[in-house]
Amino acid sequence: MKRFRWSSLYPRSWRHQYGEEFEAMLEMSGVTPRMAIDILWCAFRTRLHEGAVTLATVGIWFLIAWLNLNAHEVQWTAGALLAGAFILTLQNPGRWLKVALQLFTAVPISSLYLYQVPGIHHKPLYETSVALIPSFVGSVAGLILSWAWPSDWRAVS
Amino acid sequence: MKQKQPNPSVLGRFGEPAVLVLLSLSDRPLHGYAMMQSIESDLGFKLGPGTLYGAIAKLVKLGFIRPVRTGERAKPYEITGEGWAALAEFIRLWAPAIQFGQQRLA
Repeated sequence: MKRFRWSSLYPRSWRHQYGEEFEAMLEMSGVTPRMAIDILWCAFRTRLHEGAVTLATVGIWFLIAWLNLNAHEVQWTAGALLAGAFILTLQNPGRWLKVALQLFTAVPISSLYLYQVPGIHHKPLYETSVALIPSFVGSVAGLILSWAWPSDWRAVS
Repeated sequence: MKQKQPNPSVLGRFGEPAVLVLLSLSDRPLHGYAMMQSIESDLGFKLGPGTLYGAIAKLVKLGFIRPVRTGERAKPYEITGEGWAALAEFIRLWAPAIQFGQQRLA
């Protein structure tokens, strides 16, 4: 029978970094009921934290898409891109490029929707690439701030 | 890109497990199980595996400890220069309070 891996309770990114050594430690120490409760609670907290970040990314992505389709002024979409990229990069500076590209995709993808609506004048899709500017500006600003400012308040969260 | 060094005083803000991990590594690099044992036998605290690895992950993220490459499954960790500074700062900050408490309880 396959042995239960306690590290499987943790998110994938965590498992990738610490999974093997965590299992090695548990093989040496054994797992008492008290230790099991500790693992369950800590894995839950780690997943909660990671889930909150994912949820925030998805929420901001849909907000940008909605603004792109509904806002009368393009500045609203640009502002949401800039602020979203800034906040998410500040939360995890190592993902700045991924954040900028992820949020940018909300604009061309939501613009594709307009192509299906008859009678609407829409601009060529390649023009949406201009949205790369606020998303990269936001991400780079977040990166610079995270570099210039003590990172402790983010790391301890 | 060069990482900004975290403020050493941050250690006091996320509690004892991280301090216990740093203290356990102050003698030599240790892997998770050895850390757990050292914290229990030398410092008198029992840390659960989840709590221990929560502290390790935070300390790695802050750059206060780093893994030592050995190729074994049980990866040892060692304190970095920033980790030593953080530990020294934590002890400097808390020493007067502990001394004051000891005097009051005497």
